[in-house]
Amino acid sequence: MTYVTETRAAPVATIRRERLLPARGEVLAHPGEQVGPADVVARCQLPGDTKVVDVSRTLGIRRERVAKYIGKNVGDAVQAGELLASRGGLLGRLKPTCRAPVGGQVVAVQDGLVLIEATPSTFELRAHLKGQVTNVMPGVGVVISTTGVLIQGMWGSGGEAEGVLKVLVDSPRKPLRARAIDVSCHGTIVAGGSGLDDKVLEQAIAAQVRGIIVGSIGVDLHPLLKTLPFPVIITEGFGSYPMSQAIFTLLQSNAGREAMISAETQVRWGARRPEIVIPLHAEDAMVAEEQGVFDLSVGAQVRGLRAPYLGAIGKVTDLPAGFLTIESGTKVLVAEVAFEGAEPALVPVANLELIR
Amino acid sequence: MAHDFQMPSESILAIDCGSTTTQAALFGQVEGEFRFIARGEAPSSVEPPWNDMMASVRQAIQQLSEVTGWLLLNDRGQLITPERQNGGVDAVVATTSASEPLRVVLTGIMRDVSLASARHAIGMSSAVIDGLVSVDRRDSGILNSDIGGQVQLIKELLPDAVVIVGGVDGGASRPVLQSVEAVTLACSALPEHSRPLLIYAGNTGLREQVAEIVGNQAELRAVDNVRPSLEVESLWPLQAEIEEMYRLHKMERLPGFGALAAQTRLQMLPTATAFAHTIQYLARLDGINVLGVDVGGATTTVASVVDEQADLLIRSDLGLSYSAAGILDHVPVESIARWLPFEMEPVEISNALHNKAIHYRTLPQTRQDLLLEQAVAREVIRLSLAEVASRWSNGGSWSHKGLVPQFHLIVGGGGVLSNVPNYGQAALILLDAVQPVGVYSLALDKARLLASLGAIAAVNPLAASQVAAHDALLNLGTVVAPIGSAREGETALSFKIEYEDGRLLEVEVAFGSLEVIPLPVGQVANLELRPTRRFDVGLGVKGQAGRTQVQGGILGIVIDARGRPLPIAADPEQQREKMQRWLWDMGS
Repeated sequence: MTYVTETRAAPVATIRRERLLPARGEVLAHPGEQVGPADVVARCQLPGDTKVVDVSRTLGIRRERVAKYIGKNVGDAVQAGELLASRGGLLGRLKPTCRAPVGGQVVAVQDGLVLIEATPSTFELRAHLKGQVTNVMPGVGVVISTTGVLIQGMWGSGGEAEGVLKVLVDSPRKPLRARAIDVSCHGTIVAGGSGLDDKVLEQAIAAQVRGIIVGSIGVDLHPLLKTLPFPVIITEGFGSYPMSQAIFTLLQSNAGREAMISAETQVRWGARRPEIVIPLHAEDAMVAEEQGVFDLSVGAQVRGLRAPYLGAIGKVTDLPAGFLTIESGTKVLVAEVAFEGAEPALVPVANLELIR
Repeated sequence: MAHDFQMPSESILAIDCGSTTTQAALFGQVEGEFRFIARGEAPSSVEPPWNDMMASVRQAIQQLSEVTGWLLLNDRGQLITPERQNGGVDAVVATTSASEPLRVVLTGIMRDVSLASARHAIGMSSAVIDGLVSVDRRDSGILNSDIGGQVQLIKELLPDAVVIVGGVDGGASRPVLQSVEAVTLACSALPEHSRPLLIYAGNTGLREQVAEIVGNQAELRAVDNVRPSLEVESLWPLQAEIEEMYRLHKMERLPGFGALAAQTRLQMLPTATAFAHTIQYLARLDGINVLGVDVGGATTTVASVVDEQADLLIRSDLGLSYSAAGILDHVPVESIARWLPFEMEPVEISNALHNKAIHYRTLPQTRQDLLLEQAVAREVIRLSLAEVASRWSNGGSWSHKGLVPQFHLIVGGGGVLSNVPNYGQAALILLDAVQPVGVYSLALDKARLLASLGAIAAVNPLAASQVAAHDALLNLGTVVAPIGSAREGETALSFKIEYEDGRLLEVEVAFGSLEVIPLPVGQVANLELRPTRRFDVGLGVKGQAGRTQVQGGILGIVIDARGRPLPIAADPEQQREKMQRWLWDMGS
């Protein structure tokens, strides 16, 4: 058996996603509840910034003697400007005094130092997906299930967004142009073909799009991407590569539908890929379950992951036994693949993934 | 499957689970000696969609079974152990480099004293320094006096451990205790499960006070002062403590670790540590200086022994798959481009490296792509060596500023070196990146056995030493690299080779050239070197002639008269022509 990775580009799939709080909190959604992307399903308190107050230094009292002058204990709430300690005791009128720089809670008092955690903020966890709550983990989060289009990207920048999908090019080879983004793109997720430039990003900010999906981008745009108010997903890689036909066709055939995109990417140690979900009505099509088998076989649809076939889609026509020499001169395990519009070629198995 | 294979009486299976590749290697007795028998490999399966290191371990073992015809897994996919009549192995050892490094915040006082020693010790472990606290404004970290900053740093980074150093024994106390107070304060503000482990390796006289301050706010481990005096470093106790933390908090959390660990006779070792054990063994065996460089997918390891002093550097942020783009944080793209014999736009190089980082299992399909990876490997090795270089500068073997000391054996490992289609390419990567001097042997960890041997040595030292003697290294040949300078084309040295069959060969080598003279594996020859008055062949004196006996190898004898440091042409086009010529000279 020859194991490879996969990318999902499924017209219909059952999608289950955990939505977890960053800290323990309260789950608001109930099992079986239908939720929309903007619905808050759980919330928690996130600690504020930490401020250290050096009471010993402020009052000019040695650390080992300062404890008796501090009038606050761990767990006490304090207001900004509230008296923490005074040389004459809290009721004394003598100066100097030591006051809280921020409002919050005293979380530690040690050796003349008082640690105040600023008033926590409330974090609200949105559903992000349109679907049904199928599992509730009390205090932790929920699982939301939906049926729809599932497309995995290769890399993303930014967080999550939802909006109507708008495909602005008619070919996966065409780049996204700034002039294609107009007022009608306001609040939508726009998709292009091969790539984009900085002008596209400026125009997208002006038009207040909610997200961008393209085949590739140049690494030189990295710094700009980090400043964007919306997420960007690339489906192939860095450089100038057309979007895979299979992914482009799926996006094109679902244009006008509401899409949910998550650009969060983690390559290793808890790997996570960006994804595009377009919920469908269950009756629209038969649901294909997630595959779970990653064995490469003759006839399998694959995508190239490295030049010169990066992003190309093809079918495996042969799996020669043993190791064969490729163009670089290296001997590797190969597959013969018929890429669209090209003669069958030998490609290292390591450079292929299943796409389905 | 062929079943005519007879398994030797004692057998050892060594598993190495890397970040991109998992290998299974079989060792056994052949005619009374332990030998390497065969290996199988598979793409590692620690990450999704598998999330189980055992998936690739089974696949690699299965491949090994297919190669040898010896049954190693039963029909439920479990390893057959101990060895039986129809299959199995007697012992299993394992190494891994697939886990995340230990994330550390380092707090100390003096940049060039305690902090330098602590960085050295942490660099010898599978750990990375995420945050730094010192009293020196030149450091990019938080100042020791900024207690709030230290608390915020620890709260934001949530490190696995905080290493506290500072003060020679009997020396400074206040800044050290100030750091301990700040760290303790930060710990007390964190939920118990998020509190980092505190490792104290500072002024020994302060241990009791440190323990008193920390109290029950965090787990505290105290080890020997990493810098007990200005003149003395004590690195290994801190290194051992960090390594232990890495094993407990990172390695053991790898998905599938428990299943693999249950099969092994001894505790699983980090690959880099096991690799270093073997390099140290090779140095001790012949009393020589040895350098081992392993460029992996996510980690680069430099293990060395110079004048009997062992050193180790583990760069968990430099490699050729996941970490491929990481090199660009340290060197400009042009530094990579200078090792290419063709023109490539900086943005193309940058895109290619970022693509490799997301498609980390992929292999170069074109020659251009292959040479780009080799160019990156040169810079990864150079960057790693630069970190170690300052530590080598005190020994008797170091005599040329800016160059590495005199090594007698240099070993290269990792996929980029062991999978080269042409051994001349592997030799050139090492020569360009290390720029060694004098007369030395060049070898490859071709079958990637060195780390496994480091682990086997703990189970069966005899087996490890016998395999190391016969099978571990692929000898590329002997290199002569004179130091000196002249005009390109002027004679740098002449030499005479006397082969075993009595044949004589006399050659003059011009400065700037790279010559390869065949001397097959297993043969020896006497080499008489006569450098011109501007060149030293490693004897410490320019123009000093010498004789030595050299071993043959896959390449033979390589005379690297390109100069040290290697002259890089300022004009990119000229440099590309040079690279093309050097590759051509090395048979690639």
